[in-house]
Amino acid sequence: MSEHAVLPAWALIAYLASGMLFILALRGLSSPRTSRRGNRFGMAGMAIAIFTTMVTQAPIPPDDWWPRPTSADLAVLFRIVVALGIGAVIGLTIARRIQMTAMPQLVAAFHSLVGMAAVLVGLAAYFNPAVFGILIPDGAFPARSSLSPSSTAT
Amino acid sequence: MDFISILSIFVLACFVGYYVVWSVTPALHTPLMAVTNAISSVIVVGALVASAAKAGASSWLGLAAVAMASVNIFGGFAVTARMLAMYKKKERPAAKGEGK
Repeated sequence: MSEHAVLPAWALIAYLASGMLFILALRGLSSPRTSRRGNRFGMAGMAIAIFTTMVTQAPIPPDDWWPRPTSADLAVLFRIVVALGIGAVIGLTIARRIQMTAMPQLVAAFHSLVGMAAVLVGLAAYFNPAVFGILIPDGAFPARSSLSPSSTAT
Repeated sequence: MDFISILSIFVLACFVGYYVVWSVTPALHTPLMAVTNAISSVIVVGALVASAAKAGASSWLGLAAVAMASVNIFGGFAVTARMLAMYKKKERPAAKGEGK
């Protein structure tokens, strides 16, 4: 699964679309009339980003645009969907139960989860840089990469 | 990607962010903060890439990150929707039949 160096064009367009939807979501939240539409833009952007990433993780033949998943890929996909589902149940339960007055603390607590997730992604990239495509083909770190563990800042 | 492309994207993003949130109604600051937080969980994309490894520490770290980011995605958009539903009730007092 480490050979997904080149994403198909539709995936790049999808990522661009999801970024634009995020900007529209922030813009929509700036006025009461457009705020609920803005929230929906945000959800749509996130759905596109997750769908695109999940689809393009399976190996894609060089002259094709759609992945050909093996059964191992489907097992990985199943684990990911389970993790997403667990998070969804916890998140929706908390969001429904929380008191309105506790909202700022809740948003801050949610934000700390994102920070933790980012830390874990960084650790994962350190342990397995090939998955993120930050290795040159023979398995070494690129000489000038700032991600190389041995390089010092220049 | 080379350095100058990444720098260009960063600078353009600074301008977009500045102008998008410039004229926000003060009453909407909390929902805007909530939706910004929900959008920040787009880190789930990196977590998905990490957890796509078939085995090893990186895949389990990735799965934990996917679960955490997923709490934030669903929780974040849900609390934003809840807050915005409150504004709706205030704006149109005639439609208060389905309040909880």
